[in-house]
Amino acid sequence: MSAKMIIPVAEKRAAKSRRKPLLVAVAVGAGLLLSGGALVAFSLWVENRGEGGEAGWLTSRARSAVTQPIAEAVATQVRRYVRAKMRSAWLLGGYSEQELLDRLASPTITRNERRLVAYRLASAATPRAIEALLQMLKNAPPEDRAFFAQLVGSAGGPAVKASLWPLLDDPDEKVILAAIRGLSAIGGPEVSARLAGMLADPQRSAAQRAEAALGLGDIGTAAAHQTLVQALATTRQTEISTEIVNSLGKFPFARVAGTFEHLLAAPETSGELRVVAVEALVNSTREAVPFLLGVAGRDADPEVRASSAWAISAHESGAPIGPALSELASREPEPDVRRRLYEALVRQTDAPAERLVPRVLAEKDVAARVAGFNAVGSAVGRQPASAAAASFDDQMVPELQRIAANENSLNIRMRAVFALRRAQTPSAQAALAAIAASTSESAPQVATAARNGLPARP
Amino acid sequence: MDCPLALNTHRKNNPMIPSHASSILRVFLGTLAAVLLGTFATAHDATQPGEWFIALYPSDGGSVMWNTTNPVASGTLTDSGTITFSTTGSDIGMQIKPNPGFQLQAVYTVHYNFTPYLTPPNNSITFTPNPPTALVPTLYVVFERKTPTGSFAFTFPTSKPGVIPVVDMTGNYQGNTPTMNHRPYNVAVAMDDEGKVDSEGTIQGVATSGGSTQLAALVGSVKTKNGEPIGQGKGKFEGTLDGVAAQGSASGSGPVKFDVLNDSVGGRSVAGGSAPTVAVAGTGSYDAKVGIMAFKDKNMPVSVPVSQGGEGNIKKAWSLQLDISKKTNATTGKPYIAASSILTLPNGDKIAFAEKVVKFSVKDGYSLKFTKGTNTTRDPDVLDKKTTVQLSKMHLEEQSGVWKPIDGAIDYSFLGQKGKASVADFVP
Repeated sequence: MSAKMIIPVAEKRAAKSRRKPLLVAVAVGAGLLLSGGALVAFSLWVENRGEGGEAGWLTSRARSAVTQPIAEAVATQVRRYVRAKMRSAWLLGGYSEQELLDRLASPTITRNERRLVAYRLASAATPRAIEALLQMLKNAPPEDRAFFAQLVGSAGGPAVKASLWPLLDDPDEKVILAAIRGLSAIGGPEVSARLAGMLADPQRSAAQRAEAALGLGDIGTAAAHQTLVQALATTRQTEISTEIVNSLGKFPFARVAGTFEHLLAAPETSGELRVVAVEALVNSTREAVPFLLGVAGRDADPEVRASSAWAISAHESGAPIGPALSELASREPEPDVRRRLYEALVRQTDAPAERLVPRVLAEKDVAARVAGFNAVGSAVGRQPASAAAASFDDQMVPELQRIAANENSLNIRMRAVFALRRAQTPSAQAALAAIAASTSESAPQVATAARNGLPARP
Repeated sequence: MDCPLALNTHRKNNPMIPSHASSILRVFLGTLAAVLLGTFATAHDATQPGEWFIALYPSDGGSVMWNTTNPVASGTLTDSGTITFSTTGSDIGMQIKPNPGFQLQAVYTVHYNFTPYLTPPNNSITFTPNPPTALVPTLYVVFERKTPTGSFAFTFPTSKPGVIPVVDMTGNYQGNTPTMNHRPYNVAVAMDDEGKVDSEGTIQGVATSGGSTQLAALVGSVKTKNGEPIGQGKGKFEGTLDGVAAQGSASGSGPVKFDVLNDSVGGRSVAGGSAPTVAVAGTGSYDAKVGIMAFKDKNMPVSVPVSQGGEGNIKKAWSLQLDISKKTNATTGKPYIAASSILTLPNGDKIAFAEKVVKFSVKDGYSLKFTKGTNTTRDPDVLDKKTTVQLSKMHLEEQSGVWKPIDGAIDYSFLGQKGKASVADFVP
C-alpha cells in the first residue's frame, strides 16, 4: 500500500492524549506481571522444598493456590492473544491494520474496494478500526451511508450507539433500516425499548416497523419476546405481522414454542400466516425440529405441511430424524409435500437410502422425483459402499442425466445435476461429464453446474 | 304507407329502397332506440318538409358526413342534428363514420332498415325524398361499442423503476470470497416454482467432514418484501479449511440484485487480480470456528463479489400472452367471449392457462384471473397451483384497427413472489 493515510491534525492530538493512559496501563501491567512472577517463583520454591508430611501439604496448597491459577491465567491470556492475532491477521486478508486504514482513507479507492477494506476492518473490530469506520460514516457518500451505518453497528459494540441514534430519523429510509440492523446487533435494553417504540409507531412506514420487529428478534431477550408477542396480538397489517412472526422464529424454540403452537392452532390465523409461521422456524434452534415434524405429518393444510418439511431442511442432523422423514414421505399423499420431505432428507446423515429408493422410483411428479434422487444421492455420497449406491447408479443416474440434458424446467435440470454431484459415484461423475459436454451450447448454466461438479484437474 | 321515406318505395330500381323491408329484430331495436331517444322521436317527427332529423346513438359513437344537391351543401354531424334541403327536390348523400372503439350497427327509420344498402368502405348511402315535400321520419344511425378482442402481449418492464420485479436466480455464481484470503468459489443455485432455493458449490480449500469438496451450501428462499425480492438463506458446515477442522453456521438475507461497486475512481483491488464489477449485497450473521480461532458476527453488511457475467443469473423478464376472442357455443349457439393466456416466467417456464369465458363491460373493461395453469416446460406437464396473474378493470383502446390495453391493474404471483402494477407499464 503506497497511499499515505490522511490524518487530520485533531486526530493527531487525540492520538497523543491517548498515549498517557496507555503508558499507565503498561506500567500497571508490568507491575502485575512482576508480582505474579514473584509469586510463582516463590510457589515453585516451596514446591521444590518439600515432599510428604507438612511440607507435602504446603506444596499442594502452594500449587493449587498460586502456581496453577497464575500459570493458567497467563496461559489463557497468551492463548487469547495468539488467537486474536491469528484471527485478526486472517480477517485482515494478509494486510496489516495500518495498511487497510491507509487504504480506507485513500482518495483513489474504488467503492468496491472501500467496502472490502471496511468489512475487513470491521471484522477485526479493533478500536482504531472502529474509529476509522465511524469517521467513514460521518463522511460517507449517500450511496454508502446505509452500508457504513450497519457496519459500524454490527462491529462497533455499545460505544457506537450514540452515533447511530440520530440515523433512526434519517431522511433516507435505507439508512434508517441499516441503523436498526446495526443497533440490533448491539442489543441491550435501550435498543430494545427504542425498537419497540418504532414497531408500535403508526407514523413509521411499514418497512421501518417490520425491520424494528426483526431487530427485536435479533436482540432475543425476554423483553424483546414480550414486545413481539404483544405486538402480534394487536397488529392488523399483514406485512408487519408477517415480520413479527419471522422475528419470533429467531428465538430459541423453547421460548417461543407456546406462541407458535397457539398461532398454528388458532382458527383466526390465516393460511398464509400459518405458512409464514412454520417457515420462520428455519431460524430457530434445533429443538424446533420435533414440532415441525409433527406439523409436517399432521396438519390438514398441505401447504403448511410442505413448508414445515422445508423448514426442517434448514436444520441439520442433531437428532435422528431421517427415518421419521422417510416414514412421513411414504404416507404423504401430496407430491409437493413429499418433495419438501425429500429435500429435508438431503441434509440428514441418517437418511435411510435403501428404504427411500423404491419410494422415490415410484414418484410420478418430476420435481418430487428429482428431490428424492437428491436425498438418495446425498446418502450415497456419505456411504458410497451402501446397497443404495448400486441402485442409484443403475436406476437413477441414467434418468438424472436424461433430465439434465433435455428440455425441462431449468430448476429441475439444475437439481438433477445436484443429485449427481452429491452422490459422487463414478457413474455420477461420468454422467456429469456427459451433461457438461452435451449442454454446453443449449444450456450453458446446466453445463457449468455439471462441470463444477467434476473433480478439479491437477 | 304514411312514412315519408316510404314514398321511395314506389320508385322502381331505386337501390335505396329495401325490397324486403327490415327484419323484425331491426324494427324492434329501432323502436327500442326510439323509445330510449323519445325526445328525438317526438320532437323531430314534427320537422318541416325540407328538414331531416338524424339521430346518432350513442351520441359519441360516430359522425355523419352529409351533402345535398339542392342547395349544394355539405357538413358533418358529430351529434344528432337536422339536415336541410330544398322542398323542390334534392339528393341527400351520407357517409357514416364510427368513432374509434365503435362500429356501425344499423341505419333505419321506424319503417325501413337501410343497413344492407350501405356501401363500404365508407358506409355511404344516398336518399331522395319523394315527393320532396314529404315529412321524413327520423333516421336512426345506431353504433355499438366493439368488444375488444385480439392477442395482447404484456411484458414486464425490466428497466422501469418502481415496478415490483419477480426474479429467478437459478444459475452459477463464482468469484473470490471477500474474506478467507479471497478463495475462489463457485455456487450453483436452483430456485423452484415456490421461490425455494437449493445450492451446491465448492470453495477452494474447504471440504466436508467426509472429505467431499461438494458443499450443499445453503437452503433459502426468495420472497417479496417492501416491494422487492429478498433472498434469505441459512447453512451449516462441518469439515476442514485447508486441512484444519472448521465448523460453523451462517445466515443471511438481502435484496436479490447486484450492486455495481466499481463505479468510482481506479485503484488496485485488495483482492488482487481483476476487480469484480458486481456483488451480491445483504446482511449476514455467522458463528464459526476454524482451528482455535472463533468468528462471530451479527447483522454484518455483506458484499460478496461475483465475477463478470454472474449478473445474468438474476432474471426478471417475464411476459403474458393474452388471447381474447369471440366464440359461439356449439350447443346453444350463443356467442361468448373467451380468454386464454400463456405466461412465460423469468426462469423460462411456460404456464398455459386454459380458455375461460369472460365478460366485458364498457365501464369496467375486462377483469380476468388466471390460476391453476399447466407448466408445459416441465416434462411431464404439471398443474401449477401457485402461479396467478390477474388483470383488473383493463380497458382497451382501438388504434388503427388494433386494440391496445391502456388502463387497469395487473397482479402477479409466482416463484414465491408477488407484485402489482399498472397494465400500462406492461404494454410497449
